[in-house]
Amino acid sequence: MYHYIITSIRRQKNRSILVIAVNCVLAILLNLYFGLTDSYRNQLTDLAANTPIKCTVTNPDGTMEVGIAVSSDILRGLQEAEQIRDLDCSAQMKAGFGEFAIEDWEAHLNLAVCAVNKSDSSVLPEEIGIRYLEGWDDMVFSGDAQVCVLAKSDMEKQGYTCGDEITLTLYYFFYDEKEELQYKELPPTSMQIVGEIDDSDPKAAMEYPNVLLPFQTAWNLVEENQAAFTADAVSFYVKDPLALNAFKEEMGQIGESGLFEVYKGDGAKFSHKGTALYVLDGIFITMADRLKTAIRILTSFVLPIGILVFIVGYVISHLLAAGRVKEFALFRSLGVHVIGAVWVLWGEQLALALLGNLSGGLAALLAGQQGWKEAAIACGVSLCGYMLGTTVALALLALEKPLALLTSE
Amino acid sequence: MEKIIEAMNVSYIYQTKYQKTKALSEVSCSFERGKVYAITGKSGSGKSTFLSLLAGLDVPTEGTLSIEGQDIRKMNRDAYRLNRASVIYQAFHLFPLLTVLENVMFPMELQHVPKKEAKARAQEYLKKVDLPETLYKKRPNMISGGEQQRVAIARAIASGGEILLADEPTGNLDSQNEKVIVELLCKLAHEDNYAVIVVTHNEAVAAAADVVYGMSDGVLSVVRE
Repeated sequence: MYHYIITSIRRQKNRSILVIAVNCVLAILLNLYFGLTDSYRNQLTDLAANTPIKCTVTNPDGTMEVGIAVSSDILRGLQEAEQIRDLDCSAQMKAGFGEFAIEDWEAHLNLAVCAVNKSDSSVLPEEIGIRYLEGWDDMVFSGDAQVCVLAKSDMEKQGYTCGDEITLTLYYFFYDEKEELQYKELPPTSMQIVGEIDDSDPKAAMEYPNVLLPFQTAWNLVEENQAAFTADAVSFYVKDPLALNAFKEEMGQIGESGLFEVYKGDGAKFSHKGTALYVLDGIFITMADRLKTAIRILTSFVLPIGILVFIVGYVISHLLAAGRVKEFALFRSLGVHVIGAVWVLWGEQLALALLGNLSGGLAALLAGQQGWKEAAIACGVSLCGYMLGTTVALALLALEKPLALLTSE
Repeated sequence: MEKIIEAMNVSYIYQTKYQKTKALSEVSCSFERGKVYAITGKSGSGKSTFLSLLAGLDVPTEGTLSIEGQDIRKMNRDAYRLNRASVIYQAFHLFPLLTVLENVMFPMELQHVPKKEAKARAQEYLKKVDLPETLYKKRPNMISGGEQQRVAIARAIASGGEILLADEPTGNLDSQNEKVIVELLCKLAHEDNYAVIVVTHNEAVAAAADVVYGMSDGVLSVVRE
């Protein structure tokens, strides 16, 4: 029977070419359709990667992003959170070299200290240059070593060099229950200088801190002295912008009562507490919604397209089968089982449809429309739909009584 | 002579959604090897329906049709047509895509006869029906009606069965070709021991038969024995 199928394909060139061409066109159309859907899906994925959603912890009414008090509970929650990335925390302090009495603060308490957990923290000027002692790099800020980075000019004034062990007296500032600024003196602390800030440009240097500390080191120093540590500014990015709901749920469970959305209504009570979250997701949501709508519309056409392919398969096979009814009856008359007789016509259609889909898939690949996996899926759908139509058309043919089609009566 | 087919009170009813039509009514007869049988009757008398039952393309609604004592209902009727009974039609019904030789080889291909052997046997059968060798590679539409019918007979005997069923085999032929085909069918019965059953309304064909049955409104009667 295979010989008959091959002979039939070879000797009915026009018919074979027609079926191949129809299948080729169907495959190309489905490749275009799946390609377009995939392209939108990829754009959505790229959008998530290229349009990061930045989140900033603010005070309840959203008027302050820096100089607020973010509790250690919230900080720990954020450090452990799974839905965020690139956590950026900082705390501002004051300090003086060596030991000195509080009364002499005007002469000594002249160092601006900034504790950060990364060298590219948003609270630091972008152009700040740090030269590290050998064996140290910008990872120093993600640890909790008893080290510091000093401004070059201060080091020169004090006669320090990188690697020196120095003593700093730190003052930690916080807001009390009445929202009044208070301070706490920490005991003099010995630290190694592991880097210097290049503040040779006096104009730029005005914005630089004198001392940089690892954030966790500052946190530990404050808590070791029985004070409640709070961060001064906190920001981060949503890890997966396409999972905003999971992100919001996680944020709602952080700290004692969770981070809530910024309240912008009139009459919001002012506070320095960093308990609100400002999420810059507007652009992302607008663009993602457009893409999602396009994907939804395209996806809703899957069934009609499948039905269309099925109908094409049915109509073509039905028309071809109508011209081959006597051939089918003859098979039956010669003792070929009904399944075998249908198989000859079905197998022929399968071979031609395969050829058509292969050429259509290849054309889509060469046109750079699809990856080979996507092209294979599109061709598979086209082939299955077409052959389903063929199967129905030939199943109806199989119901015919053979002799009625062949006899003279 | 040995009976190869026996029909006992065979009836056949065509049933549609709206009506029942009795095409055959209690037909009883038998067929032996080595004889030519003619079944005559007007169009619509039930001749071809009876032929379709003899060919195993359908089964009787009532009664028994047995092939060498075996009830046709219990047989593998596809295998029966493939190996034992072949049908020749008025319109020849050769495969238009296959050459003359390939048409004759086709039943043997179904029987899984090796290609080389099938080709040799097909050539032998085509010689038997006196078809010129120059036509072997031609397609059916390139040869005459008489030649096509000879190819159809060669294909029928290629299956190796002993029953030849012919439905108006000369209906589309001129008188000269009609004579050739009738002689060929008689030769197959008398010399090669086939049971040849011909449905016809052609008197010349009936005259050449050994036994003639008449069919009228589904009732079979003996015209000449």
